[in-house]
Amino acid sequence: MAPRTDPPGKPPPDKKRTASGLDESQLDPSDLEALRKAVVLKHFPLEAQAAMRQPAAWRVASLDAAALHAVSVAIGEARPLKLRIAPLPTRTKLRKLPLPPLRATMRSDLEAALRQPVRRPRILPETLPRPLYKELHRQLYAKYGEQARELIIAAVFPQVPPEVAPTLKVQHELDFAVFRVPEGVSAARLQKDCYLVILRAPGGETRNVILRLGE
Amino acid sequence: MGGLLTVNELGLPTEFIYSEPLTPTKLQLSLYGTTLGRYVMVDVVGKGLLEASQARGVPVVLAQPELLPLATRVKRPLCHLSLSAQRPLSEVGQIRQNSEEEFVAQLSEVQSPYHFRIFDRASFPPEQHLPVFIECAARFDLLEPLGRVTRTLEMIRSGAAH
Repeated sequence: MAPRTDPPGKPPPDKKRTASGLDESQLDPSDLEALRKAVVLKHFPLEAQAAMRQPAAWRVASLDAAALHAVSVAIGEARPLKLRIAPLPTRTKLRKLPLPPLRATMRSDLEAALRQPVRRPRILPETLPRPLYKELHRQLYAKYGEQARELIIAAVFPQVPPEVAPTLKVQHELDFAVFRVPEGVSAARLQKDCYLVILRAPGGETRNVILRLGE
Repeated sequence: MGGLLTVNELGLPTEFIYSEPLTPTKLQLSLYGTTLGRYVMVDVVGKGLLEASQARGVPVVLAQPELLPLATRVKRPLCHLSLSAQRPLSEVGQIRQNSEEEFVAQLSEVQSPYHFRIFDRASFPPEQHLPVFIECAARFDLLEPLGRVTRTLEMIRSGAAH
């Protein structure tokens, strides 16, 4: 049943007046309820909203217009939809994790290094520079005289200072001469250009002699 | 631990510096990850030893070629040395350049040439530093002091130094 609409003008002071001015009491409750259940909330264009708010008498007297009007009864005031998005916080609490630095403590211990044995590899006497080779033989003859002819040079080890003689050892079948710098002796004060010479006598016994050959 | 041994022209010690053992924390292990080993070796221990040494400007022979990037951290000529298996070059002092970072040099008359690995020629110009190596090679085995560094560190680590 089409609702009875009031003529334009002041809205009557009834309680059941809709936002459009329609007298809701004139509507069939079952119709009204059905409309309310069926209504789909939509955002109508502003022009349509304005038209819906007008009293029904000003609109086209047609069933469609009446249906729109009835829908506007249930919808009430058209309000634009607003989506509220909660803003992200512009400040976050920053925490700095302290990075512990890697540091190594340096220590000096020359005594520990001096306690390590120094190894000198054997060299062939023929590989000595010519002047040193001649000086070697000259000193052997000066020390042993004619016996020097019978002595065989078994090994020569370069740069073996006479100061290290108390700690001197020959290892691995005359391959290496090993010595330590004596305690209390500075390495800078040891003699240079001294050679350990190992001589083998005809009887098989060996003799060790340190000669300063010089450059 | 790391150690730096300075020797004179006879190969005898004049200075020995070592770093105390370093134990990274769990946080450092997590943050540094796989770079921790190299960082400790080069930037912490290696750089610390060279800066603590009194022997400025003296060429340094490294035990491992992985330490060569130290050349960018300290102003000292650094090289890694090994005895090559090649025949001797024609004369003492002769250099055969293999690449920008490697060359072979004859340091003594009868021995095989030494194989040098450097960071670059700018940090280790061979012609400038080779005379020192030639003089020392005539007196002692250039690689022998490296063994003494290792044994000294082992002695200190085991607490038998004193």
